[in-house]
Amino acid sequence: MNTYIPEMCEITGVRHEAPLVKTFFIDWKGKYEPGQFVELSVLGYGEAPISISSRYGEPFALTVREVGSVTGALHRMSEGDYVGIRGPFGKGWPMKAVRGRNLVIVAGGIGLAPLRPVIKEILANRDDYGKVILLYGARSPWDILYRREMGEWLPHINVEVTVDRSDVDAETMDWGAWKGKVGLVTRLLEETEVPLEDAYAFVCGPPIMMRFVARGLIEKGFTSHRIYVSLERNMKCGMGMCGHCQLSGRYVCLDGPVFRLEEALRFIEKPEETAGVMG
Amino acid sequence: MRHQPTAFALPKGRVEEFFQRISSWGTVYGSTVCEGKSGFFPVSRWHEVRLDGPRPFIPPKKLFFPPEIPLFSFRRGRAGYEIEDRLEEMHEKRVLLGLRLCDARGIARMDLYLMGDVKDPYYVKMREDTLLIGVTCTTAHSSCFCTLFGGLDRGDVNYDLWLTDVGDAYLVEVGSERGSALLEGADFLEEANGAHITEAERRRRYVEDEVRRNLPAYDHDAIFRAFSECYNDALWEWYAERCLACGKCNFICPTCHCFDVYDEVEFNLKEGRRMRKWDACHLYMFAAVHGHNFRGERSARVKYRVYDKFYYPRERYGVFTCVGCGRCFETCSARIDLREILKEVMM
Repeated sequence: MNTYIPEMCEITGVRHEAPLVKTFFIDWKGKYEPGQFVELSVLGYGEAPISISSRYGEPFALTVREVGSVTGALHRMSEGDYVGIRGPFGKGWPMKAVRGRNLVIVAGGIGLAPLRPVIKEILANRDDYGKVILLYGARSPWDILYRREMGEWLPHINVEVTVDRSDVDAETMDWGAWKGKVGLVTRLLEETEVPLEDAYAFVCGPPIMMRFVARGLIEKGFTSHRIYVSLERNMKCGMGMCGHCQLSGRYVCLDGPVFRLEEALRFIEKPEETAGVMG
Repeated sequence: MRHQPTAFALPKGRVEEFFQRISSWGTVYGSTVCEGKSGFFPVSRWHEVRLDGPRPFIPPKKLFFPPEIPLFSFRRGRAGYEIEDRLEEMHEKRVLLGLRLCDARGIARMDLYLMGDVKDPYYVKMREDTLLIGVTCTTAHSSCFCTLFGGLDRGDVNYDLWLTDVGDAYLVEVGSERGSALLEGADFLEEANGAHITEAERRRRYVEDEVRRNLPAYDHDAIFRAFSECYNDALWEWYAERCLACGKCNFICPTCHCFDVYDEVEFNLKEGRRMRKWDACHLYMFAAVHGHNFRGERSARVKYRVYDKFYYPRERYGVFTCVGCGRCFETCSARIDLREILKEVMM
């Protein structure tokens, strides 16, 4: 068995989510858990690690932002085209540990994609979990992912959304159609009352956001062993061999991408996301 | 499952017969000098091989882990893509003749990375198809410091046969079943006697003593402790100012195994190959993702490579992945000496 060869799968649907972000539904039959990722191939362009944004049992989906050559080529593809999938790889969110407990989910931008399976899992078994709150920060009202789905989430979990900037006109101070909150997700976290008793936190977003959110959670009273972060690295092989995702002797593709913050803080090479949390 | 070592003596007058026998396994890559480069090259006679002296400059890593290989080919067909596995192309049977102990230890370390829990099929294939015939160094380079990692003791390495020059003969020690099978019924071998074994031991000690002069004998736990304490030391900044971030030390290192995966496309835009190519953690883009470079500072990369030899692998596998061959600072244009870094860390 050559583990480098992807399984070629057909794209069964494409959904536009936001500018530069699309969700691709792919006919892949692998078994996976929330928070795991796959290596996505567009033959001729290469391979890129993409986190899975569907819950196992539903149509397999990847929400991808167009940033490079592989994701750019993927964005030009449509229904009926073929992509390669290898995986799933890595360790995902500790869903067993949060069973029966409260959960705070903090996501920034495309970081909501690997957390969508967590939300879907909770919605499917709502009685198994306590209070769940999602704090989500997007760049602008147009960049909010899964907008159409969020209506279905609302009756079951508490969702708070903030945008870094709305379409504000400096002279008239006209906020456009956006009536929600404006500001960073860290401020949203400060302002929002979140469950602290018997609660876990899952965080995913850009490095700088995770760093300040982790600090904010600790200031609120979370202990670092109840905070989980999903780290982004350049996973080229997914099997702990190519060395690109190595972080302080761990392979993010094997030992992560989800790490307990307490463990990440003990790394000698600090992941930028957590550097400065304690000091 | 180490084969019970048996030893023979190979008289120097009959080495070509020995060569004939080992070349029945496959192409012999001998330690030699070719076009001014000292490394492992295909040879057709014993006398093209240089078994005296210290280790060659270029390690045999590329025989198991080539600088660039195609992983598979693809072609756009009527229904999606056709994929052709290129693993079977790596089927050359080879004999590595003149493997020095630092490189044998390097292979043992590469095995941890590429033949451990997860197996790299290309590496495994090339490893299995290659017979390892080692030789004890007769002298050392001034940059050698293998004694820090076990010296010329073969307890922690894998080999099929091991040769030691004992004057008018080579002592041939068998290290595996297939090594033993290869020598079956060889009339050019004599039974090794006690004098051969004592002489081999004496010569080994002689070289080890020479190597020991190049670096103080630090305790392994002390090295690990020292590294755990000097992560934020200013010395990394100091070395970063000199480092050219060229990645030469990565490429010459017998245990650096990082690689990049990318696609190559034919001009017809219908066919292509997925390639695997060496990568180096000293290069700027190594740890970059879109919008963020996790080791954008040169000092972070200098430090990372040294920690990936002396700290991280010891945490993960319980060993250092430096083997003390000294090639990284022999090749370094900025003359950054790993031994100086070690001494500074241990200060």
